[in-house]
Amino acid sequence: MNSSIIKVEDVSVYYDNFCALEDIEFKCQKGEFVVIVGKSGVGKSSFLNALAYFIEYHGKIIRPQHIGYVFQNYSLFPWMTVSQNIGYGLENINKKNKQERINDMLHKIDMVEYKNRYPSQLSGGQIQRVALARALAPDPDLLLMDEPYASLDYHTRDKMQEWLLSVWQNSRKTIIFVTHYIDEAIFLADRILVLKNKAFIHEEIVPFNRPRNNEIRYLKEFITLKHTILNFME
Amino acid sequence: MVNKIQYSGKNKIAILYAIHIKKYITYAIPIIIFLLIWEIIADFKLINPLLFPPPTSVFNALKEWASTGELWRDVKASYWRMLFGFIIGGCFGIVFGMLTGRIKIFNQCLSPIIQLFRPLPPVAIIPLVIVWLGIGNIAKIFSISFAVFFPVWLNTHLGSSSVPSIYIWSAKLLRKSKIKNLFRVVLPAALPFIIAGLRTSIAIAFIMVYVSEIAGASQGIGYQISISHLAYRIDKMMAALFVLALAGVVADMVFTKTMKIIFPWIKTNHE
Repeated sequence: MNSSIIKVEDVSVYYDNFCALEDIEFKCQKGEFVVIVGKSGVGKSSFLNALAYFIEYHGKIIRPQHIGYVFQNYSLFPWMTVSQNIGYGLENINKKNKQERINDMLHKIDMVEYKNRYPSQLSGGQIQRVALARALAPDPDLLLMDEPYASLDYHTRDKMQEWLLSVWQNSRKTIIFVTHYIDEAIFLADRILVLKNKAFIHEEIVPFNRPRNNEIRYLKEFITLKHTILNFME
Repeated sequence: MVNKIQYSGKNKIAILYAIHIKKYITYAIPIIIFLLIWEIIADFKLINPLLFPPPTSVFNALKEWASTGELWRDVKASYWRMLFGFIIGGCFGIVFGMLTGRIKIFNQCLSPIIQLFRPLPPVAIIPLVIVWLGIGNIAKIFSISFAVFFPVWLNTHLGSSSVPSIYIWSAKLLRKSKIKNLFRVVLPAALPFIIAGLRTSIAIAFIMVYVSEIAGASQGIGYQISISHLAYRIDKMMAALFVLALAGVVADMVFTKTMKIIFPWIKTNHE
């Protein structure tokens, strides 16, 4: 039986007098890909930020010590090249191993020829690929992704989702992914949680086998599931 | 059918060369017109030429100044004072700005004292500095450093305290060492602010060089302006003012280019 890698019990988040999340309960198994959906402003990012211990919360959160985070807005350090960004989290290893790890990540994200470029010289999709590589390079136990593809165009987003699945397929990291695109959620997730009125109000297990490709988006089950989730979100 | 124009390597260089020449001509035309108007006004004695010498007289005074070797000596003396004062004041400004911008206790203890002295016009301290340190180079460098410190401190303080939390959060997750994150993340993130403060300080440093040199010196551009004034040599005075302005422009250009080379990731729209 799988044990929970994350346990969230009675967690509430307040910003001054405003309550963003109230008595949230959440559990996640190791290697699971969980997607949280909800309209803008329902507290999806607050939940991830509380999980990362970035913000203050009331309640109890148990999660692995070593986590990676991919932000919605471009969080790469503009003063570092692609290689330097990826290597920043690689502490306590020798230079040779560090370079090998960076090269390995550059190959994985297919950006070897961009290694000496600065983030300002990359496209939105490339920036988010590097951000994922930077988060994965130190080999975290848990990866949090806060609407990483929200600012990308439709085609790039589709490509990035396929690419993310292929990366996840190989690494099998536990991922908590936040989005407001239901298609994206169904395509990526093992399990989808709908966040509304400061709490999770619905859970769906995604029935599609892996590996998945874009064709599943046209299946009747996909469209039905999309409508079901949409009804809970409205 | 659309005909595409193919540019060979030589053509490309020629086009770039033409663009550069056009840019310089655009800069030069207003200056030439200005000098011509000035020359005409002076030649036609519309204003007393003793008070308003023509550009040719100013140029001759400049030549005379250069021929004795004093021009180079004075420029060197002023630049060294400016450079030392700028570096010392700038370093203190950056260190104190980082401390007050990032560490609460330093902000609470130091900011009120710094804010008390900040509105003080830097030239106002010169008489006191002369009493304390005399009229030597130490006094001049101290006055320049004092003036440079405040804009650099303020910009560094604002820059380091307003680093986007997304960078701080990323850094915290990726590295445990606070010191490393301070130098590798907070400092570079605040750098555009720091550079703006340093650039503002270049002009302030030149003001202080001038003021401290007229308050007592035997070398320097400010000293030349002062003795030309006493000798009623308006042409030489204007030549010295021109050199002082040019020295400021060169210092600013060198600073901007150096920053661009050292920190190529910083985007600047205005140069």
